[in-house]
Amino acid sequence: MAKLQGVPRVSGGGVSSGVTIVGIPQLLAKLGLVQKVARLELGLLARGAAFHMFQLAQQKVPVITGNLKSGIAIEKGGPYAWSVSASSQAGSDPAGTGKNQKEYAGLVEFGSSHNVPRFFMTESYRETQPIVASDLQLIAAKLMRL
Amino acid sequence: MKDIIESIRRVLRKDPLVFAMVGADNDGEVKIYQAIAKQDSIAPYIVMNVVPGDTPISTYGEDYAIEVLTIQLTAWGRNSKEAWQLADAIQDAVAVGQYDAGLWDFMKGKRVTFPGELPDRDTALVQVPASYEFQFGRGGRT
Repeated sequence: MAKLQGVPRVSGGGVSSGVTIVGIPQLLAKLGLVQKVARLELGLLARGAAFHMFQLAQQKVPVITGNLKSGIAIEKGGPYAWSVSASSQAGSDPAGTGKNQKEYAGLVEFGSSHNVPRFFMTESYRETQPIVASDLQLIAAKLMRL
Repeated sequence: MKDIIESIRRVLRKDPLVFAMVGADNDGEVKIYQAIAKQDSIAPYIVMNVVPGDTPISTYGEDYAIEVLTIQLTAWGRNSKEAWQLADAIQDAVAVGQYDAGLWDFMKGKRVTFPGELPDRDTALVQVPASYEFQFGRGGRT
């Protein structure tokens, strides 16, 4: 760890002092390692959490024809950002009934004038949240140990 | 749980602005429904739905409990403007309401999600769903 050196010393009858921070190369190397590990771990965490949410959404979505289930997708938005989306228009319309001509995913999630909300995305998100929080703590502990 | 849901419903029903907007249906019931609106109900109205997945956040032995409840309060209107006005009125009512939930004491009520406006599939109505997290506490479980 870096530390400060600079206590006054006798120098040719005079006295001198100064500031020298030692251990900087080691500190920078350590910070570089922390950065590398944090990037890797956080990237994996974001991806893992998104895949977990994606799988939960697929399990929880109400299935009649399977169109909306097939319209659930996962997309990378950045190194630490992933999104899970559901769109009936992106569905494969497995029953061939033209189900993917209109968007209705939001009406399944939040409800409509004739249907109660099913909250399949909300539930998936809420069940993933505590896992992310606990994994973040594990990563923080790992970084502290470096 | 039922006491808490009823108290939230009462707060909305008693709010003057919400009441002025939604009014009562043919049965004389203020148009704040649970799960789904009555089939013959005319917008604007509010629909309450419990969002699953909440658990009590804190218990201290058997002495105290905090119940967390997330409820989707959906403002239904005949057009976008009406739905948004009602959604705003709901938010204000939740913030200033006096909750009377039996043994439970109101602690907190805040909006947690506000996904946006959603046109209905079968009617010309527009809905603005928003989720609110409520916390109620109670001491001395008996």
